[in-house]
Amino acid sequence: MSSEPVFPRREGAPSDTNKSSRRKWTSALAVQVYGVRIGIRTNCVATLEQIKERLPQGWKPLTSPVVDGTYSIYVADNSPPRIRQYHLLYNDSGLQARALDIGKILGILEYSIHLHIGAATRQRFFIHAGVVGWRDRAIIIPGRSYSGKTSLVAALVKAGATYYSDEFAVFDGRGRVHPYPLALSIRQTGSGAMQRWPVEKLGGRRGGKPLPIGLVILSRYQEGAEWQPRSLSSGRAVLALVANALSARQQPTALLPVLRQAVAHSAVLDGVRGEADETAAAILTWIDRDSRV
Amino acid sequence: MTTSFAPQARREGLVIEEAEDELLVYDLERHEAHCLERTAALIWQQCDGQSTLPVIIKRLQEQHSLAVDEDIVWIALRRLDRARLLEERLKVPAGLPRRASRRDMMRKVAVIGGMAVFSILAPTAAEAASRNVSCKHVLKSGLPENNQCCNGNKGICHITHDGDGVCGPEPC
Repeated sequence: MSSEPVFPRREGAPSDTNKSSRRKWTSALAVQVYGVRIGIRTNCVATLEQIKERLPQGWKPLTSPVVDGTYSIYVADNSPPRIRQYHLLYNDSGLQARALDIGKILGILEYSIHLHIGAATRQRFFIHAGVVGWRDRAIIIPGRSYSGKTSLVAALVKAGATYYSDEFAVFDGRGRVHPYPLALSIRQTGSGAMQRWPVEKLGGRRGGKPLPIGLVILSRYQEGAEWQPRSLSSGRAVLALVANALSARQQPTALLPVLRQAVAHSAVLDGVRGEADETAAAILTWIDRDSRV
Repeated sequence: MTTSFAPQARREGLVIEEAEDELLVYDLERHEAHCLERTAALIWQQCDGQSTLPVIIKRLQEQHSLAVDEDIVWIALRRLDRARLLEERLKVPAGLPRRASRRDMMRKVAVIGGMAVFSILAPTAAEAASRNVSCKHVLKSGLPENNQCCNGNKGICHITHDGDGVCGPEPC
């Protein structure tokens, strides 16, 4: 019996039409997350194991090779040793990225998979946001990359909140937020280098159950600012969530009622903020005083 | 001059959700989402293509206890028109709104309250996940590498699954 791996292929697609077909692939994996089927192949079995560690929580292996999208990682063997070769990442559109550092390739792959799932799934609604749990309610911080969400999420977790995600709020059809716990990407002071921190390393705990939203924080970092938010309506919160939704254009008819329901009983606060630790303390103090959350 | 004008609200191509006393509207054609505050929402809902402004005003006064006048309704109609929520583009008759000072008009709007129409453009999947709208211009000179930065040195540009370029969180 052949021991060759069965390589994933996109449903309805002809055989490889991009340059990735020239490569010799030795390992493959087909997985499903929230109904989205993703195929991954590589020429290095050790890399495949590293990839598995970066897949979203709750992924399931597929027995069928038919998938909705494929990624291929070519790991350079760097021989002869004097010639450095790039590691390559392909997607269905062709060559997606190349880097001399395999960690960067894996990071790009991981992020691409999250985006792909978030845009394609019909089981959940992905909003770009940080999420923590506090007193059986979710605090959600919508915002795109580099908006300061991770810093604020990390500060809230250090203050005792439960970690749900620093990148994506994942809503179900009832408007509850599910955990999507990625390793936090925190920029180191001084060097400015980013490091991945599992929440446990910060002394935090991961959330396990879906939560209704208690508070939506719309904030922008401003050096030296003191957090003095104003209350907004739930309609304004829905707009902020739509503005950060990965599938707003693909499924607005389904998205709008879910978000409306999600924020119907939550407070919404808007305002600039200063340092994350101070803001986190102020947020949790505000919650303790407000009976709605 | 305005006694025969009967504004018509758009109904086709919209997803509408009621949220407390606001109205959420998603425009499927333009991929814009709007939040209409209470008064603006009530005025919009009265625009049935048959009710003239005097009828709308009377209805709002009697059924919703809103002290609106023609100036207020025109302000609301302008805002709804900007959001493309009327069936036809608004043609404001000459001489309207009446020659009140801007301060007086704003004071009227503030007293009535609930007149705002907030709007956003719904993002594509790539836009929703990146700080910069697209970094495809970075890619034209070659392939994204670990020293190929997005605008402001924030993140590496890379091609997403749909062929767009987006700045990821990876450090530049």
